[in-house]
Amino acid sequence: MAALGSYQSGWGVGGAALHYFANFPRLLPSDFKMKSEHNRGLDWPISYQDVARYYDKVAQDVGVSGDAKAEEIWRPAGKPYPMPPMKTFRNGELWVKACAEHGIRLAPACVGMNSTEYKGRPACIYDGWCHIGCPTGALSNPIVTYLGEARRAGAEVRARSTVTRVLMNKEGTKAIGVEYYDADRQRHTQPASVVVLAAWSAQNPRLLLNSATAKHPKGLANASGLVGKYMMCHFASGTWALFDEDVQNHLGTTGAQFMSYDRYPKTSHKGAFGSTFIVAGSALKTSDLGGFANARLDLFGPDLHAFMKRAARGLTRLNAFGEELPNVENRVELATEKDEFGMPLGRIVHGYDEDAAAVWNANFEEGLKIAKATGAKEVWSGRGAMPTIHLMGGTIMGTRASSSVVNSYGQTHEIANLWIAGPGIFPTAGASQHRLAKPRAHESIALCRRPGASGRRASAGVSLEGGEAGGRLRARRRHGRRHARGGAAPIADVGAAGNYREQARREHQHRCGRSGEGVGRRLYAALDRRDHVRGESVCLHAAAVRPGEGLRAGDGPWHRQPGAGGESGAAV
Amino acid sequence: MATPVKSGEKVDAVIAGASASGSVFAATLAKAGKKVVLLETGPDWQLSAATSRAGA
Repeated sequence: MAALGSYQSGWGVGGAALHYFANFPRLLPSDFKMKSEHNRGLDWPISYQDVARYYDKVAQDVGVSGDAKAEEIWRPAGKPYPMPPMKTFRNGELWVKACAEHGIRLAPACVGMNSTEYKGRPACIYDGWCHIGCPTGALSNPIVTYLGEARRAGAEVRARSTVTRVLMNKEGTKAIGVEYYDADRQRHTQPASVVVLAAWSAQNPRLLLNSATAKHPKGLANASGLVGKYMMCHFASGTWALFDEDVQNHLGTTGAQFMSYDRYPKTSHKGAFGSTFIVAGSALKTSDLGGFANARLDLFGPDLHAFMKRAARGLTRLNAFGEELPNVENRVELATEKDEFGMPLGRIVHGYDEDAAAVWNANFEEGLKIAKATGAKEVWSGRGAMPTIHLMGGTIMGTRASSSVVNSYGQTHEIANLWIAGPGIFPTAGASQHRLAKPRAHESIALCRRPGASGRRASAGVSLEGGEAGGRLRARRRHGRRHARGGAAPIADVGAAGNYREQARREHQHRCGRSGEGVGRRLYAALDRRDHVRGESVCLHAAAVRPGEGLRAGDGPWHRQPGAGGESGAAV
Repeated sequence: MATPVKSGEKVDAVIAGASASGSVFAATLAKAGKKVVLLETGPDWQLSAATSRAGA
């Protein structure tokens, strides 16, 4: 079983955003004021207006395609996006009218992808393989954006270097660097004036807790006892619609072609509390994660074969993402087991509350109504285990040291030269950022706009010349060599044989020089995090993952559930 | 390009995680002339090990 939120995690230089979908929707002003407006959850120490210009800046930095004017029916006006919206295809377009009939307006999804050439990176070719790592450089992952920039400016990247703790001075007043282990398991220290933890929402608290000293017996920056608390995620309600005709579902982007905030107000669904963000029109492959191989888990053998054959032409999906409220009981804490370096593992305790379940259910109900309005031959809910998507919280920001871990710039209240970056500092989750840490990270950087302890400006201009596009991107295809076996196989004969899983594998090998098997394995490489943080849930979705226990494609909870397609939350 | 950081040499900032978030910090600080080291537990995916053609 998968660890909480784990399939959005990732490792390797570039992190999880190597395989994210680059959806770039924003939070709305209400997300920042949930406590004051609804007396629920928490308030942020800052407002939408404080971060708005950074949203605009990041859009320019990384290259976002979209229609800002169209979005401004839901959010305050900002700058136009640097590129026009992406192309749309029938698998997205057919949702527009059906949604409108139910009072849901769809706008072009804003995505960190190139609809035109941008900063030396090519325009998207709409082959729909975003989720396994964009092979062309059209998608703005860290390697072609900020990380390339950092390297060119002289930043040194040491791979296979596992940070095990933050080191403090004797007085306990200042971080002096970090301890880490290299690929040969040799211990090193890296002294530094400033330490930034950007290791994952669940990993950052674990590092803080594991760095306890005599002066900080509960862990660093943890006088409040809130390190590791308020872990949050998103959940998705996916609805399938199957047509007889070809809906071009292999084309587009994995994320979405259209989006809507019309169910975003916190009380949109009667009897439930929390935002919903709707997307329509994902490119679908025959794969299991991000595709439709698990859209009908009740089918086997010839029935599955027949379904896959139809689905490969006629299946499309509407997805509604829901917001989980911050709950202090949802937490990362240290486990008794230790990792290979002798450091205690993390353990996640998490359960969804009634509001989350109610929003999830309401979105299935509404999704089904909308799907029926498309005129599809068959429609059904992709209901499996309640998914845990996009891990947030654990080191939340606030104005007071007694009720938060960091300030609005990501700087810990307790130790001036220790910073946290990423969505771990979010006090509420919203529903819209179903893209991974990246934009959130940008946002947290946006929040670091003030000169910090060493006088730097974390928001100083970050431009991008591109240039690392294709080559660097393909650098992720580590499985290629192992699976290459003399080059790509032709696609056509496989389809004729009717083996669609095999077809997917070969198609991918053909396009990207790597087998589909590798695709699954790469995605699931993310689950290697099980060695560090294992999920333990009191709810229905994720059970314990023990260190060393193998996790492979097919082991996720979405594979185990009866019913259809629990993987509906695969969007990142 | 800056000279490589020597073993044990103090830098301006060390970042745990060559991630989306870490890379923004890294880019911003490096461009401001600060000496930055990113530590990443995973591998640095290389082109040569990646595509069938290049890696064959």
